[in-house]
Amino acid sequence: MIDHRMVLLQILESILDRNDKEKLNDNTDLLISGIMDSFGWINLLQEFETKTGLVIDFEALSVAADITTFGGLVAALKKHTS
Amino acid sequence: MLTIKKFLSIADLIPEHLAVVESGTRSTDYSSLRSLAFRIAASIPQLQDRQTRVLIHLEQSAYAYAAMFGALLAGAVYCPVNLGLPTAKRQSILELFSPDIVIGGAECLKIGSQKHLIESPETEPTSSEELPDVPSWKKSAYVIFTSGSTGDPKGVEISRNALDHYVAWIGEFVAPTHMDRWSQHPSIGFDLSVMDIFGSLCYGATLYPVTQNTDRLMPSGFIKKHRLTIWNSVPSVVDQMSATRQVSHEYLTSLRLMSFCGEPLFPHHLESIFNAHPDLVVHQTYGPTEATVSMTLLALRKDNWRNHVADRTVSLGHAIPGMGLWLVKDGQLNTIEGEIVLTGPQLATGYWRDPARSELVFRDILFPNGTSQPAYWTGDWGKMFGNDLYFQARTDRQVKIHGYRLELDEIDAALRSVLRCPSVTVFVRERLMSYIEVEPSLLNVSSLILKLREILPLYAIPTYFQALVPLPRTSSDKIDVQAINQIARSLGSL
Repeated sequence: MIDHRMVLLQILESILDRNDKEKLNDNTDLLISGIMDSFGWINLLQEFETKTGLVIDFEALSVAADITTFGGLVAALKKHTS
Repeated sequence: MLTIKKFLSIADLIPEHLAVVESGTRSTDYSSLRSLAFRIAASIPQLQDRQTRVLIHLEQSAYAYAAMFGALLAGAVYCPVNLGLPTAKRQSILELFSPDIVIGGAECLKIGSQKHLIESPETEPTSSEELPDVPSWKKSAYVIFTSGSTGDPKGVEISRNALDHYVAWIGEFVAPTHMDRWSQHPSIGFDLSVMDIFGSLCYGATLYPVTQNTDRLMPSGFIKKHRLTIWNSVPSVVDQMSATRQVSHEYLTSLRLMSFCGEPLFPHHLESIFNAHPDLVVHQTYGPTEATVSMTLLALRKDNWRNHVADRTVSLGHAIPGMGLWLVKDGQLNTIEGEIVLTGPQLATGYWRDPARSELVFRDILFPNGTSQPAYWTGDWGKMFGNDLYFQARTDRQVKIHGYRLELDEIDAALRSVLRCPSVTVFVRERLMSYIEVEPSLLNVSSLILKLREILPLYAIPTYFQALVPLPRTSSDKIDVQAINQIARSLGSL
């Protein structure tokens, strides 16, 4: 059973500085907070696929709600990966 | 001014045709855009001794585009700002440009009392929407600020004649029509946006600003959703599309043209594009901000693109009509390799209020027959393979990250302002790596990144910091950048 949240957190560990880690919660917008830009966001998802072996349905993801917030992304990945 | 005339003519011809479609349902037709431009122009005061300066502090939107046309109508010079830049950087641009008017919400900036902030233009239509006479001495069209090695951004001043030349070229070689639906992906503070805005709105196409997060993350979906016919961006956006498995016929089928500029175009970009859409035309273009967006063209198709690949990159293309491109090595024109030097009407006037910096790179090129021409010395090293020119390297410490021009010395200036000690930043395997002459116990990377975010845009913040005491020096006691480069390369993949 894959824990989507944990995998994302593990990947983010290598990107985030201490301050980011402290403020990261479900409502944190990964783009607006300045944690990453759109290229970083794509890299995050690519690494997620590599680590989990899951395949993301990007078309479905593109219409999912709040995919730039941490919590929204976790929820969307749970729903739109296989 | 030709550019303004083109816009007004097309607005007269197809007043009800959509000019701009923003996210959601907001759309603006040509007639409304024209009226908005005239209302903004009416709000811009005329000065007797110089051009009025207009800072445009807005997201990509119909309002921002109308502000540009309004400034041009009023004989003003405008400066578009990338809202994604840190506040300190935008403040610095504001102070360097010293605008008479700021258009847009700018609560975060310290605007002097003499500035007139327009939140929204007069709602009443102006009595006249005729093309005003702009005195010929009002020569400048816009100033776009790019990275500067001292940490201060430098403003590239583009004349109205240069913009006219570029826009006329778009008309001839891109040939936009009212049938086209054109993307507007780059920020208005990035000169690539000039192609979208004027290329589209001077020829009757409909412009689609890409502003929503999901659209910026997955731009192929945006192409599909709006059935775009023209896409223009830096090539690395194709990598973004590939990563989401959306470089496919299903997503790109509506396109007739993809145009790229701002960073190297690689064979794998073309391979994936032409596999997805064999009938597509790809325009590879090259040019620094100092030459008004771009000044070369290479039209690539599925059956010819492999002829223009050498040294693992795609050729820069050939100079467009009216512009000249030369190679200079050891002070002499060279037919094989050398620094790329540009001539022609699209060259910038110079750097905004910086004659010393301008003189370094805007200087004449001498020809063997004794004649000379004003030129811009790019700092790009090019080499000919066959009949095609290829980018080889920079002759200085400037790099491109996702199309954004970045002076590595700007990062070191930022590091110095935070840490008060020397550093060298290098760009190795697409990563920014900083070596800092500080005791390791004193280097707190977390707080350093936090402080850098206040000064530098996100793409300019290094992803690797290493304390190194002492930094290697040359025999003249300068920091040895080459040695640092070697150290960085020896680290391998991190």
